[in-house]
Amino acid sequence: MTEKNPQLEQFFQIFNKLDKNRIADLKEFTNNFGINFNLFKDGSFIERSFPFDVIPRIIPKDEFKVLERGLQQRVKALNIFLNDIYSDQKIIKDKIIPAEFVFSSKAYRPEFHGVKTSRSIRTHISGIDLVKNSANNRWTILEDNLRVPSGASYPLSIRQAYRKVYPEIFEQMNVEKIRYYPQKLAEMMNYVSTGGINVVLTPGRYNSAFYEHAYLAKQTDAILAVGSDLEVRDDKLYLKSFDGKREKVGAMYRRLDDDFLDPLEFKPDSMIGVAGLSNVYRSGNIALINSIGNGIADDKGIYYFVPKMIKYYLNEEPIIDNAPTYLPYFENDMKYVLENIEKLVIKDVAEAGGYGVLFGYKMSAVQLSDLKEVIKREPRRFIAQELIEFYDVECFMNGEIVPRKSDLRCYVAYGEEIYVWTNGLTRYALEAGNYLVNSSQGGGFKDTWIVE
Amino acid sequence: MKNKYLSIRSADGLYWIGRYLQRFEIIAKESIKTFDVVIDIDKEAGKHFFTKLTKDINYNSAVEFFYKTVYEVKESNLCYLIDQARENATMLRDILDEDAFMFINVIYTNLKERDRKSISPKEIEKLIRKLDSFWGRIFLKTQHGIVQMLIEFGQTVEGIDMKLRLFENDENINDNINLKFDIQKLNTIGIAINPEFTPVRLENLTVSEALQKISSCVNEIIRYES
Amino acid sequence: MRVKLNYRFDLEFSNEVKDHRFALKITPRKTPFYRVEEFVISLQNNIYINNIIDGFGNVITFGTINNYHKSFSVEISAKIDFFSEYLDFQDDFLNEMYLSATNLTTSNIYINEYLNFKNELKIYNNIEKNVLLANEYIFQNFKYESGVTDAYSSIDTILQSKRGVCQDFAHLLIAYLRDLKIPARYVSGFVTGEGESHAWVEYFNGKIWLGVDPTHNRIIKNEPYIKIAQGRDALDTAINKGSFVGKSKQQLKVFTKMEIYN
Repeated sequence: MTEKNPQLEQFFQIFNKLDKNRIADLKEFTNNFGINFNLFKDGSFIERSFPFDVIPRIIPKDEFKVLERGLQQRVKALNIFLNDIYSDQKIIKDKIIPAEFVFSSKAYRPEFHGVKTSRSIRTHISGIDLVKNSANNRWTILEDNLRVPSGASYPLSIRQAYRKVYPEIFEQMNVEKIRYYPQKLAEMMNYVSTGGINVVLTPGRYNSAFYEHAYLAKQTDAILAVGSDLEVRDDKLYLKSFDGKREKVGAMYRRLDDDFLDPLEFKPDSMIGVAGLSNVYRSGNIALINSIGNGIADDKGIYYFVPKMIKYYLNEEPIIDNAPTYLPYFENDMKYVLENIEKLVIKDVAEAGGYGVLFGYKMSAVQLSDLKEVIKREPRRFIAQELIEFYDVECFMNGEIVPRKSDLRCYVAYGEEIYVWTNGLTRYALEAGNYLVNSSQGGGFKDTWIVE
Repeated sequence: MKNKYLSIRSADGLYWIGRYLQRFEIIAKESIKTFDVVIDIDKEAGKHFFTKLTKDINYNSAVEFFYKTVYEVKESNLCYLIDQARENATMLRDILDEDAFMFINVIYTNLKERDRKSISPKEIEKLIRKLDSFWGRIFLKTQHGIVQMLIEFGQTVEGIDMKLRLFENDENINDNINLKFDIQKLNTIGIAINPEFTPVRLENLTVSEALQKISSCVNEIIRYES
Repeated sequence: MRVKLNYRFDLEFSNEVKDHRFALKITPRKTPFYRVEEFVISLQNNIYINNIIDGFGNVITFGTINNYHKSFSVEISAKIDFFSEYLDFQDDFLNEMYLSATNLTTSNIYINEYLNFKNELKIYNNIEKNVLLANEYIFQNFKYESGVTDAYSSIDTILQSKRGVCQDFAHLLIAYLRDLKIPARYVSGFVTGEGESHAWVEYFNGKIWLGVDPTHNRIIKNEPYIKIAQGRDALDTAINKGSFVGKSKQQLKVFTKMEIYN
């Protein structure tokens, strides 16, 4: 089911009058400028442009205002949670979250307990994934991404081309400007910097999102660097400048997961990190964006507790709902999950990128009974959610308009203030009926318009 | 791009973009001229040309000669050269002007993704125009900075390198005015980047000594690690 | 009782290496049962070092050797005054943290061997008794032998081969205690009679952390155990972690001298 709103109607009225050949111009733009989200398929590197659909997702401005407040609230609570977990752990002591949930998470890093981050910010950049539930017309949080959320550069890039190719639409519709996001990121980096230059740390040109690393470095006036461009001296981080000098790095937007950041601390065979970085971080001499150890807060198991965090830390009711979720860790939930497994979506807490998501209705009786056994053996490892019927979006494929499943990733930059970007990455599945929209699975993206 | 600090890797990449694209331009232009000669004036002209670049090439027609120039000559074919330039440009996307990147990318996709059955000089001429646009973006008068200087340094080094290799047997380094001009330019850029740059002098050197000197002067600009 | 400790390790490289970054855990921890009267750390070439504390309260000594070198040596000397029985207090974080399984303290392949081992031990309603029994059992049924396991071996190796070193004995005891929901942590340090550093276990009895050494079948009371680092398992306590540029093999030589002098 696709959603109708007057702003979308207005779009189609204008769009349908315009030459359909203009779509080819947009495609040429993504090709010429190499706007790529590269894939690894069967071990080989495939460079390809991120498939893009010309019909934007349109959200009415007053609806977005509610999303904005809800996201600010959520990110604020998550940031406090992370500060709490790595210091007094009050939320565990007060028994809001069972200790085991936090401590058994692979993403929890007790070796960094007690580290104070600059301005007490840990979730500098959050990517919150949402869908709009067609049953009750409400936006629902699917997932938080607080480690290395990617995707903001794609709608940023495409909007530039869009305005050149379809200026009429922007003249007639009141679309919220999105160009401030890089500026907000730069302001945030300067706000948390411990003194020195700003760097974007990339694993390298063969990473799927390399286009974005370079794009954001350029737009925020930060230096794009790989691990070997940097070095730790004493307890500070430096960029090795071509003229032999060493420039101190004050803030680093790192596009690598914790595991690869520092061979002296994490995976010893990582060649893409910077040896000694963890101790610079412990010493308070670098602002890492995002901080080390954030994974505990976007652990799928912790997702269940976020509404409780909002109540506990902020004394407020959550503005945006979680999807109805069950934790087999709790006895009542385990009972419900085992009895209703065919109707539910089972998610493995450990997996990222969508591989560890199982749809009960797609599985055979044998598969379901095997799954039940695994859940009974390792209750902490799984969460179960009701299958939400979320709205489709309309896509222009092969000359016709077809519905496709999609989600929305909103970006929140936490600096001196918490800024929710007036855009988002709308991802859609290329095949009909496919609920998995992740980029790494081969989906496409749309621009997201906030319209008055 | 105010106050941009450059890593060693980035500086090296910019230098090599200049070199690869200059090599591309010279070989493309020379090959188009040579193609005309090979048709029915001197069938060996293509071989002579590439021998000066220490490369082998065999062909039975002008068309085959041109095709191999674009796709097959080891490490000097146009496709290879633009591939190398594009690799560097990709790594330097944060520093390079977007349109500049786009021109390299367009040349690259043009050569890589077309049906490789034959290629005519006319198509290469079109790509040289795109390269002109690239140089135009880089050398905009409003944008002088270390990025431009490093690319121009590389471009100039390659220009000198190619001129030295393409000397006729009786030519002399000391007499070639174009070379003198290029060397002056090289030294000017070198000193602008690093005031301690030792000006390059090629008088009375043999061609191979000169080539050595030219390829190593970048070490005074970029402090590579030992 | 006063104890003097001298410890030194020499890392030899087969080829010259450079840009060598290291992180050492080699500083005696403060405890409520001994006082560190003197502590000196010296490195070759007077390399500049920094100290920082990690989440477990371990002191990390880190630095860089930029120039080409073929060896890396670190030497410590300490004077420790033991004045009461072995015990330690809670960390900054909750004790439940030490209930979680880690890769090295989990059996993935030899699960049956682990279950068999577990079944051999009767479970009582008394923490101390359970600890004593397991400690004794491990000492009696596993043989101390080096060369069978390495620094990254999980308990799978000792379960299958029935042989290991103090690190493996400690991991096995920790795995078992955590199974019984007794918080247990890994401790590395020094004790008299060893030619190198030693590893043992601490468990939480509900009030305080007490020490137990499965390699020596010992409930630690007044023996001179110097704590250097503690954590979830051996990986949290490694004495030396380093990375360098250069193709080289490494050889480690270790020298330990610990004697009671008062």
